[in-house]
Amino acid sequence: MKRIMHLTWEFPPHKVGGLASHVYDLSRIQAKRKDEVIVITRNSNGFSEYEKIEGVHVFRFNSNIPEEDFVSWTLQMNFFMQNKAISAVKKIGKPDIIHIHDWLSFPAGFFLKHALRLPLISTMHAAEYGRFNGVHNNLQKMIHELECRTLFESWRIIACSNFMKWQMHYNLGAPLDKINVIPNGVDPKKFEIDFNRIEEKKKYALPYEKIVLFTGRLVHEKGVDVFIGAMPSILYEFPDAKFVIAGGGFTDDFRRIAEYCGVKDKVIFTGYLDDLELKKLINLADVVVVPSRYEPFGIVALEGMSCRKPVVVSDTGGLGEIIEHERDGLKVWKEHSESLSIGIKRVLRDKELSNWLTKNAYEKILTKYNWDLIAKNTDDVYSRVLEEYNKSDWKKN
Amino acid sequence: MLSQYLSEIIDVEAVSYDNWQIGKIREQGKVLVHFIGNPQKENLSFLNWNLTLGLELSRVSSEIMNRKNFDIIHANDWQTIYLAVSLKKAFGTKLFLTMHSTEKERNPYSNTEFSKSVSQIEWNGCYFADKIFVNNERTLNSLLHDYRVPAEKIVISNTRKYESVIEEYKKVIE
Repeated sequence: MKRIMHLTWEFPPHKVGGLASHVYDLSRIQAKRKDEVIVITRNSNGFSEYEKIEGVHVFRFNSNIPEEDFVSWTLQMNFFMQNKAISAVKKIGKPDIIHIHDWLSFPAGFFLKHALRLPLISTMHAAEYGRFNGVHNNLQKMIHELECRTLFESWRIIACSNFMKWQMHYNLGAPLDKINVIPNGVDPKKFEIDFNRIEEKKKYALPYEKIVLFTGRLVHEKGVDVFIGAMPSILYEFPDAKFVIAGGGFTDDFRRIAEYCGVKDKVIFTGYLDDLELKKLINLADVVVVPSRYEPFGIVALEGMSCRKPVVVSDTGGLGEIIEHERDGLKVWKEHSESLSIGIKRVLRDKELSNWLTKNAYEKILTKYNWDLIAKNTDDVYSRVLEEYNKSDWKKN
Repeated sequence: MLSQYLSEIIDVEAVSYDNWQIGKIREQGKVLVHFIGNPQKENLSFLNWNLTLGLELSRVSSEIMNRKNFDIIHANDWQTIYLAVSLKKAFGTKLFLTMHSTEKERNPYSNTEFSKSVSQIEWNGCYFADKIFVNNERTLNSLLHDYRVPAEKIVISNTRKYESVIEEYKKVIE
Protein backbone atom coordinates (compact mmCIF):
# COMPACT_ATOMS: atom_id res chain seq x y z
CA MET A 1 0.00 0.00 0.00
CA LYS A 2 1.29 3.42 -0.91
CA ARG A 3 0.25 6.77 0.43
CA ILE A 4 -0.12 9.21 -2.46
CA MET A 5 -0.73 12.93 -2.32
CA HIS A 6 -2.18 14.62 -5.40
CA LEU A 7 -1.94 18.39 -5.70
CA THR A 8 -4.39 19.87 -8.15
CA TRP A 9 -5.97 23.28 -8.65
CA GLU A 10 -9.28 21.76 -9.77
CA PHE A 11 -11.24 18.78 -8.54
CA PRO A 12 -14.96 17.98 -8.93
CA PRO A 13 -17.39 19.57 -8.40
CA HIS A 14 -15.14 22.55 -9.20
CA LYS A 15 -14.02 22.19 -12.82
CA VAL A 16 -12.08 24.42 -15.19
CA GLY A 17 -10.79 21.97 -17.78
CA GLY A 18 -10.14 18.24 -18.08
CA LEU A 19 -7.69 18.08 -15.19
CA ALA A 20 -10.42 17.76 -12.57
CA SER A 21 -11.92 14.63 -14.12
CA HIS A 22 -8.49 13.11 -14.61
CA VAL A 23 -7.43 13.51 -10.99
CA TYR A 24 -10.85 12.43 -9.75
CA ASP A 25 -10.85 9.19 -11.75
CA LEU A 26 -7.21 8.37 -11.09
CA SER A 27 -7.47 9.00 -7.34
CA ARG A 28 -10.67 6.98 -6.85
CA ILE A 29 -9.23 3.98 -8.72
CA GLN A 30 -6.02 4.24 -6.68
CA ALA A 31 -8.11 4.23 -3.51
CA LYS A 32 -9.96 1.18 -4.84
CA ARG A 33 -6.57 -0.50 -5.31
CA LYS A 34 -6.05 -0.09 -1.55
CA ASP A 35 -3.68 2.86 -1.77
CA GLU A 36 -4.23 5.70 0.67
CA VAL A 37 -4.93 8.73 -1.48
CA ILE A 38 -4.97 12.36 -0.43
CA VAL A 39 -6.08 15.15 -2.76
CA ILE A 40 -5.30 18.77 -1.98
CA THR A 41 -7.39 21.16 -4.02
CA ARG A 42 -8.91 24.61 -4.15
CA ASN A 43 -12.26 25.43 -2.61
CA SER A 44 -14.04 27.91 -4.78
CA ASN A 45 -17.70 27.48 -4.02
CA GLY A 46 -18.11 26.84 -0.34
CA PHE A 47 -17.63 23.08 -0.60
CA SER A 48 -16.67 21.09 2.45
CA GLU A 49 -13.07 21.61 3.61
CA TYR A 50 -12.59 17.90 4.15
CA GLU A 51 -14.52 14.96 2.83
CA LYS A 52 -13.91 11.38 1.87
CA ILE A 53 -15.04 10.71 -1.67
CA GLU A 54 -14.95 7.08 -2.80
CA GLY A 55 -12.16 6.36 -0.33
CA VAL A 56 -10.12 9.45 -1.26
CA HIS A 57 -9.28 12.04 1.40
CA VAL A 58 -10.10 15.38 -0.21
CA PHE A 59 -8.79 18.49 1.51
CA ARG A 60 -9.91 21.85 0.15
CA PHE A 61 -8.29 25.16 0.97
CA ASN A 62 -9.92 28.54 0.78
CA SER A 63 -8.08 31.17 -1.14
CA ASN A 64 -9.24 34.66 -1.84
CA ILE A 65 -6.32 36.07 -3.76
CA PRO A 66 -5.95 39.43 -5.51
CA GLU A 67 -5.02 38.80 -9.14
CA GLU A 68 -2.23 41.07 -10.36
CA ASP A 69 -1.63 38.54 -13.11
CA PHE A 70 -2.37 34.86 -13.52
CA VAL A 71 1.10 33.70 -12.49
CA SER A 72 1.22 35.72 -9.26
CA TRP A 73 -2.27 34.48 -8.47
CA THR A 74 -1.12 30.90 -9.00
CA LEU A 75 2.02 31.34 -6.93
CA GLN A 76 -0.01 32.74 -4.05
CA MET A 77 -2.65 30.03 -4.42
CA ASN A 78 0.14 27.50 -3.97
CA PHE A 79 0.98 28.96 -0.58
CA PHE A 80 -2.47 27.99 0.64
CA MET A 81 -2.13 24.64 -1.08
CA GLN A 82 1.14 23.74 0.63
CA ASN A 83 -0.19 24.79 4.03
CA LYS A 84 -3.25 22.62 3.56
CA ALA A 85 -0.99 19.77 2.45
CA ILE A 86 1.01 20.05 5.67
CA SER A 87 -2.22 19.97 7.70
CA ALA A 88 -3.22 16.86 5.76
CA VAL A 89 0.16 15.25 6.49
CA LYS A 90 -0.42 15.87 10.20
CA LYS A 91 -3.88 14.32 10.02
CA ILE A 92 -3.33 11.37 7.68
CA GLY A 93 0.45 10.87 7.72
CA LYS A 94 3.46 11.54 5.53
CA PRO A 95 2.89 10.46 1.94
CA ASP A 96 5.29 8.26 -0.01
CA ILE A 97 4.82 10.20 -3.23
CA ILE A 98 3.77 13.70 -4.15
CA HIS A 99 2.03 13.81 -7.49
CA ILE A 100 1.47 17.20 -9.10
CA HIS A 101 -0.56 18.02 -12.18
CA ASP A 102 0.80 20.70 -14.50
CA TRP A 103 2.87 23.70 -13.40
CA LEU A 104 -0.15 25.07 -11.55
CA SER A 105 0.68 23.02 -8.47
CA PHE A 106 4.44 22.99 -8.95
CA PRO A 107 5.37 25.60 -6.30
CA ALA A 108 3.54 23.66 -3.58
CA GLY A 109 4.98 20.37 -4.82
CA PHE A 110 8.44 21.91 -4.86
CA PHE A 111 8.10 23.10 -1.27
CA LEU A 112 6.79 19.75 -0.02
CA LYS A 113 9.47 17.86 -1.91
CA HIS A 114 12.25 19.78 -0.19
CA ALA A 115 10.66 20.27 3.23
CA LEU A 116 9.53 16.66 3.62
CA ARG A 117 12.25 15.16 1.42
CA LEU A 118 9.85 13.22 -0.74
CA PRO A 119 9.93 12.20 -4.38
CA LEU A 120 7.93 14.42 -6.72
CA ILE A 121 6.12 13.08 -9.77
CA SER A 122 4.44 15.30 -12.29
CA THR A 123 1.86 14.70 -14.96
CA MET A 124 1.98 17.25 -17.74
CA HIS A 125 -1.41 17.63 -19.35
CA ALA A 126 -0.40 20.46 -21.67
CA ALA A 127 2.45 22.87 -22.25
CA GLU A 128 2.42 26.60 -22.91
CA TYR A 129 4.83 26.19 -25.82
CA GLY A 130 2.41 23.95 -27.69
CA ARG A 131 -0.72 26.02 -27.07
CA PHE A 132 0.54 28.94 -29.14
CA ASN A 133 3.24 27.23 -31.16
CA GLY A 134 6.01 28.94 -29.22
CA VAL A 135 6.28 31.45 -26.41
CA HIS A 136 5.67 34.99 -27.60
CA ASN A 137 5.17 37.25 -24.60
CA ASN A 138 6.50 37.62 -21.07
CA LEU A 139 3.57 35.86 -19.43
CA GLN A 140 4.09 32.84 -21.67
CA LYS A 141 7.84 32.94 -21.08
CA MET A 142 7.29 32.86 -17.34
CA ILE A 143 4.86 29.96 -17.53
CA HIS A 144 7.21 28.14 -19.89
CA GLU A 145 10.08 28.58 -17.45
CA LEU A 146 7.97 27.30 -14.57
CA GLU A 147 7.00 24.28 -16.68
CA CYS A 148 10.68 23.58 -17.39
CA ARG A 149 11.39 23.77 -13.66
CA THR A 150 8.47 21.42 -12.96
CA LEU A 151 10.04 18.81 -15.20
CA PHE A 152 13.53 19.45 -13.84
CA GLU A 153 12.43 18.95 -10.23
CA SER A 154 10.32 15.85 -10.93
CA TRP A 155 11.73 12.43 -10.21
CA ARG A 156 9.71 11.08 -13.11
CA ILE A 157 7.34 12.70 -15.55
CA ILE A 158 4.10 11.23 -16.87
CA ALA A 159 3.04 12.34 -20.33
CA CYS A 160 -0.48 11.71 -21.55
CA SER A 161 0.63 10.92 -25.11
CA ASN A 162 3.73 10.32 -27.21
CA PHE A 163 3.13 13.73 -28.72
CA MET A 164 3.50 15.30 -25.27
CA LYS A 165 6.57 13.22 -24.55
CA TRP A 166 8.35 14.67 -27.58
CA GLN A 167 7.03 18.16 -26.87
CA MET A 168 8.50 17.98 -23.37
CA HIS A 169 11.78 16.69 -24.72
CA TYR A 170 12.25 19.18 -27.54
CA ASN A 171 10.57 22.26 -26.13
CA LEU A 172 11.01 21.92 -22.37
CA GLY A 173 14.31 20.08 -22.25
CA ALA A 174 13.12 17.02 -20.33
CA PRO A 175 15.34 13.95 -20.72
CA LEU A 176 13.53 11.18 -22.60
CA ASP A 177 14.49 8.50 -20.11
CA LYS A 178 12.66 10.38 -17.37
CA ILE A 179 9.31 10.30 -19.14
CA ASN A 180 6.60 7.61 -19.04
CA VAL A 181 3.67 7.77 -21.41
CA ILE A 182 0.36 6.88 -19.74
CA PRO A 183 -2.78 7.98 -21.59
CA ASN A 184 -5.81 9.45 -19.89
CA GLY A 185 -8.85 7.29 -19.49
CA VAL A 186 -12.60 7.38 -19.36
CA ASP A 187 -15.27 5.42 -17.53
CA PRO A 188 -17.98 4.56 -20.09
CA LYS A 189 -20.44 3.64 -17.32
CA LYS A 190 -20.56 7.28 -16.32
CA PHE A 191 -22.09 8.09 -19.68
CA GLU A 192 -24.87 5.51 -19.46
CA ILE A 193 -27.61 7.74 -18.14
CA ASP A 194 -31.38 7.60 -18.34
CA PHE A 195 -33.17 10.72 -19.45
CA ASN A 196 -36.05 11.87 -21.60
CA ARG A 197 -34.31 12.21 -24.96
CA ILE A 198 -37.22 13.93 -26.72
CA GLU A 199 -37.59 16.61 -24.07
CA GLU A 200 -33.86 17.10 -23.77
CA LYS A 201 -33.35 17.40 -27.51
CA LYS A 202 -35.89 20.21 -27.63
CA LYS A 203 -33.35 22.38 -25.82
CA TYR A 204 -30.92 22.21 -28.69
CA ALA A 205 -32.58 21.13 -31.91
CA LEU A 206 -35.80 20.19 -33.69
CA PRO A 207 -36.77 16.50 -33.51
CA TYR A 208 -35.63 15.74 -37.07
CA GLU A 209 -32.36 17.68 -36.89
CA LYS A 210 -28.97 15.97 -36.64
CA ILE A 211 -26.77 17.28 -33.87
CA VAL A 212 -23.13 17.90 -34.72
CA LEU A 213 -21.47 18.52 -31.37
CA PHE A 214 -18.37 20.35 -30.24
CA THR A 215 -17.50 20.42 -26.54
CA GLY A 216 -14.55 22.18 -24.95
CA ARG A 217 -13.22 25.57 -24.01
CA LEU A 218 -13.88 28.19 -26.67
CA VAL A 219 -10.28 29.21 -27.24
CA HIS A 220 -8.06 29.49 -30.29
CA GLU A 221 -6.30 26.15 -29.94
CA LYS A 222 -9.57 24.21 -29.87
CA GLY A 223 -10.32 25.20 -33.48
CA VAL A 224 -13.92 26.34 -33.04
CA ASP A 225 -13.43 28.74 -35.96
CA VAL A 226 -12.33 25.79 -38.13
CA PHE A 227 -15.55 24.02 -37.18
CA ILE A 228 -17.68 27.06 -38.00
CA GLY A 229 -15.88 27.34 -41.34
CA ALA A 230 -16.97 23.77 -42.17
CA MET A 231 -20.66 24.45 -41.46
CA PRO A 232 -21.80 26.02 -44.77
CA SER A 233 -20.54 23.05 -46.74
CA ILE A 234 -22.23 20.57 -44.36
CA LEU A 235 -25.50 22.51 -44.48
CA TYR A 236 -25.45 22.45 -48.28
CA GLU A 237 -25.76 18.65 -48.18
CA PHE A 238 -27.51 18.30 -44.80
CA PRO A 239 -29.82 21.26 -44.27
CA ASP A 240 -31.21 19.46 -41.22
CA ALA A 241 -27.86 19.57 -39.39
CA LYS A 242 -27.71 21.51 -36.14
CA PHE A 243 -24.38 22.57 -34.67
CA VAL A 244 -24.09 22.68 -30.91
CA ILE A 245 -21.05 24.30 -29.35
CA ALA A 246 -20.83 23.56 -25.63
CA GLY A 247 -18.30 25.30 -23.39
CA GLY A 248 -17.24 28.65 -22.07
CA GLY A 249 -14.62 31.04 -23.35
CA PHE A 250 -14.54 33.64 -26.12
CA THR A 251 -18.14 32.96 -27.11
CA ASP A 252 -18.85 36.40 -28.59
CA ASP A 253 -15.90 36.18 -30.95
CA PHE A 254 -17.05 32.83 -32.31
CA ARG A 255 -20.64 34.02 -32.49
CA ARG A 256 -19.43 36.84 -34.75
CA ILE A 257 -17.59 34.35 -36.96
CA ALA A 258 -20.77 32.26 -37.22
CA GLU A 259 -22.70 35.37 -38.24
CA TYR A 260 -20.04 36.25 -40.80
CA CYS A 261 -20.26 32.71 -42.27
CA GLY A 262 -24.05 33.02 -42.48
CA VAL A 263 -24.75 30.07 -40.18
CA LYS A 264 -25.74 31.81 -36.96
CA ASP A 265 -29.30 30.39 -37.04
CA LYS A 266 -27.93 26.87 -37.20
CA VAL A 267 -25.49 27.18 -34.30
CA ILE A 268 -26.24 27.06 -30.61
CA PHE A 269 -23.71 28.24 -28.07
CA THR A 270 -24.74 26.65 -24.82
CA GLY A 271 -22.07 28.23 -22.61
CA TYR A 272 -20.58 26.20 -19.77
CA LEU A 273 -22.58 23.05 -19.01
CA ASP A 274 -22.38 20.99 -15.85
CA ASP A 275 -21.35 17.35 -15.98
CA LEU A 276 -24.82 15.86 -16.25
CA GLU A 277 -26.01 18.25 -18.95
CA LEU A 278 -22.87 17.57 -20.93
CA LYS A 279 -23.32 13.81 -20.73
CA LYS A 280 -26.91 14.12 -21.90
CA LEU A 281 -25.82 16.30 -24.78
CA ILE A 282 -23.12 13.88 -25.93
CA ASN A 283 -25.71 11.09 -25.80
CA LEU A 284 -28.00 13.16 -28.03
CA ALA A 285 -25.34 13.96 -30.62
CA ASP A 286 -25.14 12.31 -34.03
CA VAL A 287 -21.47 13.08 -34.41
CA VAL A 288 -18.82 14.48 -32.06
CA VAL A 289 -16.26 16.81 -33.58
CA VAL A 290 -12.82 17.64 -32.17
CA PRO A 291 -11.23 20.17 -34.55
CA SER A 292 -8.32 21.17 -32.29
CA ARG A 293 -5.16 22.83 -33.50
CA TYR A 294 -3.30 21.69 -30.39
CA GLU A 295 -4.40 18.78 -28.26
CA PRO A 296 -1.97 17.04 -25.91
CA PHE A 297 -4.47 14.23 -25.43
CA GLY A 298 -8.10 14.84 -26.42
CA ILE A 299 -10.37 13.46 -23.70
CA VAL A 300 -13.44 14.76 -25.58
CA ALA A 301 -12.85 12.13 -28.26
CA LEU A 302 -12.89 9.41 -25.59
CA GLU A 303 -16.13 10.78 -24.17
CA GLY A 304 -17.75 10.65 -27.58
CA MET A 305 -16.45 7.12 -28.11
CA SER A 306 -17.83 6.08 -24.70
CA CYS A 307 -21.30 7.21 -25.75
CA ARG A 308 -20.99 5.18 -28.97
CA LYS A 309 -20.92 8.29 -31.14
CA PRO A 310 -18.80 8.58 -34.27
CA VAL A 311 -15.95 11.04 -33.75
CA VAL A 312 -14.28 13.24 -36.33
CA VAL A 313 -10.99 14.65 -35.12
CA SER A 314 -8.17 16.74 -36.52
CA ASP A 315 -4.96 14.79 -36.94
CA THR A 316 -2.96 16.59 -34.29
CA GLY A 317 -1.15 15.78 -31.04
CA GLY A 318 -2.65 13.09 -28.84
CA LEU A 319 -5.84 12.96 -30.91
CA GLY A 320 -3.93 11.46 -33.79
CA GLU A 321 -2.75 8.71 -31.47
CA ILE A 322 -6.19 7.89 -30.04
CA ILE A 323 -7.96 7.51 -33.35
CA GLU A 324 -7.13 4.97 -35.98
CA HIS A 325 -8.50 6.44 -39.20
CA GLU A 326 -11.57 4.67 -40.62
CA ARG A 327 -11.41 2.07 -37.84
CA ASP A 328 -12.59 3.86 -34.70
CA GLY A 329 -13.07 7.40 -35.97
CA LEU A 330 -12.21 9.73 -38.81
CA LYS A 331 -9.08 11.88 -38.89
CA VAL A 332 -9.05 15.08 -40.90
CA TRP A 333 -6.42 17.69 -41.62
CA LYS A 334 -5.93 20.17 -38.84
CA GLU A 335 -6.92 23.80 -39.41
CA HIS A 336 -8.76 22.72 -42.56
CA SER A 337 -12.48 23.40 -42.61
CA GLU A 338 -13.04 21.69 -45.96
CA SER A 339 -11.38 18.49 -44.78
CA LEU A 340 -13.39 18.64 -41.56
CA SER A 341 -16.66 19.06 -43.47
CA ILE A 342 -15.82 16.05 -45.66
CA GLY A 343 -15.26 13.92 -42.53
CA ILE A 344 -18.48 15.06 -40.85
CA LYS A 345 -20.52 14.55 -44.01
CA ARG A 346 -19.15 11.03 -44.42
CA VAL A 347 -20.42 9.86 -41.05
CA LEU A 348 -23.73 11.66 -41.45
CA ARG A 349 -24.21 10.11 -44.88
CA ASP A 350 -22.99 6.57 -44.24
CA LYS A 351 -24.81 4.89 -41.35
CA GLU A 352 -22.90 1.66 -41.86
CA LEU A 353 -19.55 3.41 -41.55
CA SER A 354 -20.80 5.24 -38.49
CA ASN A 355 -21.83 1.98 -36.80
CA TRP A 356 -18.52 0.32 -37.64
CA LEU A 357 -16.56 3.21 -36.16
CA THR A 358 -18.58 3.40 -32.95
CA LYS A 359 -18.40 -0.37 -32.37
CA ASN A 360 -14.60 -0.43 -32.71
CA ALA A 361 -14.21 2.76 -30.73
CA TYR A 362 -16.16 1.38 -27.78
CA GLU A 363 -14.03 -1.76 -27.73
CA LYS A 364 -10.92 0.40 -27.72
CA ILE A 365 -12.22 2.36 -24.75
CA LEU A 366 -12.76 -0.83 -22.78
CA THR A 367 -9.36 -2.32 -23.56
CA LYS A 368 -6.95 0.60 -23.84
CA TYR A 369 -8.40 3.58 -22.00
CA ASN A 370 -9.85 1.98 -18.90
CA TRP A 371 -8.88 3.42 -15.55
CA ASP A 372 -7.78 0.14 -13.99
CA LEU A 373 -5.04 -0.19 -16.57
CA ILE A 374 -4.04 3.45 -16.19
CA ALA A 375 -3.91 3.19 -12.40
CA LYS A 376 -1.78 0.05 -12.70
CA ASN A 377 0.67 1.76 -15.07
CA THR A 378 0.82 4.77 -12.78
CA ASP A 379 1.46 2.48 -9.84
CA ASP A 380 4.37 0.91 -11.73
CA VAL A 381 5.89 4.37 -12.09
CA TYR A 382 5.41 5.02 -8.35
CA SER A 383 7.05 1.68 -7.46
CA ARG A 384 10.04 2.43 -9.66
CA VAL A 385 10.44 5.89 -8.16
CA LEU A 386 10.16 4.58 -4.60
CA GLU A 387 12.74 1.90 -5.28
CA GLU A 388 15.19 4.51 -6.59
CA TYR A 389 14.29 6.95 -3.83
CA ASN A 390 14.87 4.43 -1.05
CA LYS A 391 18.37 3.78 -2.35
CA SER A 392 19.16 7.44 -2.93
CA ASP A 393 21.54 9.64 -0.97
CA TRP A 394 18.97 12.39 -1.11
CA LYS A 395 16.64 10.43 1.17
CA LYS A 396 19.44 9.38 3.54
CA ASN A 397 20.88 12.88 3.91
CA MET B 1 22.87 43.42 13.13
CA LEU B 2 20.15 41.53 14.95
CA SER B 3 21.66 38.21 13.96
CA GLN B 4 25.08 39.35 15.20
CA TYR B 5 23.57 40.31 18.57
CA LEU B 6 21.72 37.04 18.79
CA SER B 7 24.70 34.93 17.80
CA GLU B 8 26.26 35.86 21.14
CA ILE B 9 23.65 33.81 22.95
CA ILE B 10 22.32 31.32 20.41
CA ASP B 11 23.14 29.50 17.19
CA VAL B 12 22.04 31.62 14.21
CA GLU B 13 21.89 30.88 10.49
CA ALA B 14 20.54 33.31 7.91
CA VAL B 15 19.34 32.88 4.34
CA SER B 16 19.54 35.91 2.12
CA TYR B 17 19.43 37.04 -1.48
CA ASP B 18 22.57 38.21 -3.18
CA ASN B 19 22.86 37.67 -6.87
CA TRP B 20 26.65 38.08 -6.76
CA GLN B 21 27.24 35.42 -4.14
CA ILE B 22 24.83 32.66 -5.19
CA GLY B 23 25.49 29.37 -3.44
CA LYS B 24 28.09 30.80 -1.06
CA ILE B 25 27.92 30.12 2.66
CA ARG B 26 29.78 32.78 4.63
CA GLU B 27 30.58 32.98 8.28
CA GLN B 28 29.92 36.56 9.31
CA GLY B 29 30.94 36.78 12.94
CA LYS B 30 29.22 33.75 14.45
CA VAL B 31 26.37 33.82 11.94
CA LEU B 32 26.35 31.42 9.03
CA VAL B 33 24.84 33.22 6.03
CA HIS B 34 23.56 31.25 3.01
CA PHE B 35 23.32 33.35 -0.15
CA ILE B 36 20.82 32.50 -2.84
CA GLY B 37 19.71 33.85 -6.19
CA ASN B 38 16.46 33.57 -8.07
CA PRO B 39 16.67 30.83 -10.70
CA GLN B 40 13.48 32.13 -12.34
CA LYS B 41 14.78 34.46 -15.05
CA GLU B 42 11.47 35.65 -16.46
CA ASN B 43 9.27 37.52 -14.00
CA LEU B 44 6.38 39.78 -14.85
CA SER B 45 6.54 42.04 -11.84
CA PHE B 46 8.24 42.69 -8.52
CA LEU B 47 5.56 40.61 -6.83
CA ASN B 48 6.27 37.70 -9.17
CA TRP B 49 9.98 38.03 -8.59
CA ASN B 50 9.47 37.86 -4.84
CA LEU B 51 7.19 34.88 -5.04
CA THR B 52 9.58 32.90 -7.22
CA LEU B 53 12.50 33.92 -5.01
CA GLY B 54 10.45 32.47 -2.16
CA LEU B 55 10.67 29.06 -3.86
CA GLU B 56 14.45 29.12 -3.76
CA LEU B 57 14.41 30.44 -0.19
CA SER B 58 12.15 27.57 0.78
CA ARG B 59 14.47 25.03 -0.85
CA VAL B 60 17.58 26.26 0.95
CA SER B 61 15.78 26.83 4.26
CA SER B 62 14.28 23.33 4.12
CA GLU B 63 17.71 21.88 3.49
CA ILE B 64 19.12 23.68 6.54
CA MET B 65 16.16 22.79 8.73
CA ASN B 66 16.30 19.14 7.73
CA ARG B 67 19.95 19.08 8.78
CA LYS B 68 19.57 20.88 12.10
CA ASN B 69 16.73 21.51 14.54
CA PHE B 70 15.80 25.15 14.90
CA ASP B 71 13.58 26.68 17.58
CA ILE B 72 12.69 29.89 15.80
CA ILE B 73 12.22 31.15 12.26
CA HIS B 74 12.55 34.90 12.06
CA ALA B 75 11.14 36.50 8.91
CA ASN B 76 11.52 40.10 7.86
CA ASP B 77 8.80 41.96 5.98
CA TRP B 78 6.37 40.57 3.42
CA GLN B 79 8.97 39.20 1.00
CA THR B 80 9.68 36.15 3.13
CA ILE B 81 6.36 35.69 4.89
CA TYR B 82 4.76 32.95 2.80
CA LEU B 83 7.85 30.80 2.95
CA ALA B 84 8.28 31.35 6.69
CA VAL B 85 4.68 30.44 7.47
CA SER B 86 4.95 27.21 5.51
CA LEU B 87 8.24 26.34 7.20
CA LYS B 88 6.65 26.96 10.59
CA LYS B 89 3.84 24.57 9.71
CA ALA B 90 6.12 21.93 8.23
CA PHE B 91 8.78 21.94 10.96
CA GLY B 92 6.68 23.00 13.94
CA THR B 93 8.98 25.88 14.88
CA LYS B 94 7.99 29.23 16.37
CA LEU B 95 7.64 32.09 13.90
CA PHE B 96 8.86 35.59 14.73
CA LEU B 97 8.19 38.36 12.30
CA THR B 98 9.69 41.81 12.13
CA MET B 99 7.52 44.29 10.27
CA HIS B 100 9.73 47.21 9.28
CA SER B 101 6.71 48.91 7.76
CA THR B 102 3.37 47.85 6.30
CA GLU B 103 1.93 48.27 2.80
CA LYS B 104 -0.78 50.47 4.29
CA GLU B 105 1.93 52.81 5.55
CA ARG B 106 3.90 52.82 2.32
CA ASN B 107 0.95 53.19 -0.04
CA PRO B 108 -2.04 54.24 2.08
CA TYR B 109 -4.30 55.15 -0.84
CA SER B 110 -3.23 52.46 -3.26
CA ASN B 111 -5.90 50.08 -4.49
CA THR B 112 -3.80 48.17 -6.99
CA GLU B 113 -3.74 44.38 -7.15
CA PHE B 114 -0.09 44.54 -6.11
CA SER B 115 -0.92 46.46 -2.94
CA LYS B 116 -3.82 44.16 -2.18
CA SER B 117 -1.56 41.12 -2.59
CA VAL B 118 1.16 42.55 -0.36
CA SER B 119 -1.39 43.50 2.28
CA GLN B 120 -2.84 40.02 2.20
CA ILE B 121 0.61 38.49 2.57
CA GLU B 122 1.33 40.79 5.52
CA TRP B 123 -2.01 39.91 7.10
CA ASN B 124 -1.24 36.20 6.76
CA GLY B 125 2.19 36.72 8.30
CA CYS B 126 0.70 38.55 11.27
CA TYR B 127 -1.98 35.90 11.67
CA PHE B 128 0.46 32.99 11.79
CA ALA B 129 3.35 34.68 13.62
CA ASP B 130 3.88 33.93 17.30
CA LYS B 131 5.45 37.34 17.93
CA ILE B 132 5.65 40.43 15.78
CA PHE B 133 8.34 43.06 16.25
CA VAL B 134 7.95 46.63 15.08
CA ASN B 135 10.42 49.47 15.21
CA ASN B 136 8.07 52.40 15.63
CA GLU B 137 4.63 53.49 16.81
CA ARG B 138 3.41 54.11 13.28
CA THR B 139 3.87 50.50 12.22
CA LEU B 140 2.37 49.38 15.51
CA ASN B 141 -0.73 51.44 14.82
CA SER B 142 -0.96 50.16 11.29
CA LEU B 143 -0.85 46.56 12.52
CA LEU B 144 -3.45 47.27 15.20
CA HIS B 145 -5.87 49.17 13.00
CA ASP B 146 -5.28 47.96 9.43
CA TYR B 147 -4.67 44.28 10.13
CA ARG B 148 -6.44 44.00 13.49
CA VAL B 149 -3.49 42.19 15.07
CA PRO B 150 -4.01 41.47 18.80
CA ALA B 151 -1.87 43.94 20.78
CA GLU B 152 -0.34 41.22 22.99
CA LYS B 153 1.29 39.69 19.92
CA ILE B 154 3.27 42.84 19.09
CA VAL B 155 6.54 43.94 20.67
CA ILE B 156 8.13 47.31 20.04
CA SER B 157 11.84 46.93 19.65
CA ASN B 158 14.53 49.52 19.27
CA THR B 159 16.35 49.26 15.97
CA ARG B 160 19.75 49.58 17.59
CA LYS B 161 19.40 47.72 20.88
CA TYR B 162 17.17 44.69 20.37
CA GLU B 163 16.75 43.93 24.11
CA SER B 164 13.07 43.19 23.68
CA VAL B 165 13.77 40.81 20.79
CA ILE B 166 16.42 39.00 22.77
CA GLU B 167 13.99 38.74 25.69
CA GLU B 168 11.45 37.00 23.46
CA TYR B 169 14.09 34.66 22.07
CA LYS B 170 15.14 33.73 25.60
CA LYS B 171 11.54 32.94 26.52
CA VAL B 172 11.31 30.42 23.69
CA ILE B 173 14.69 28.86 24.40
CA GLU B 174 14.01 28.52 28.10
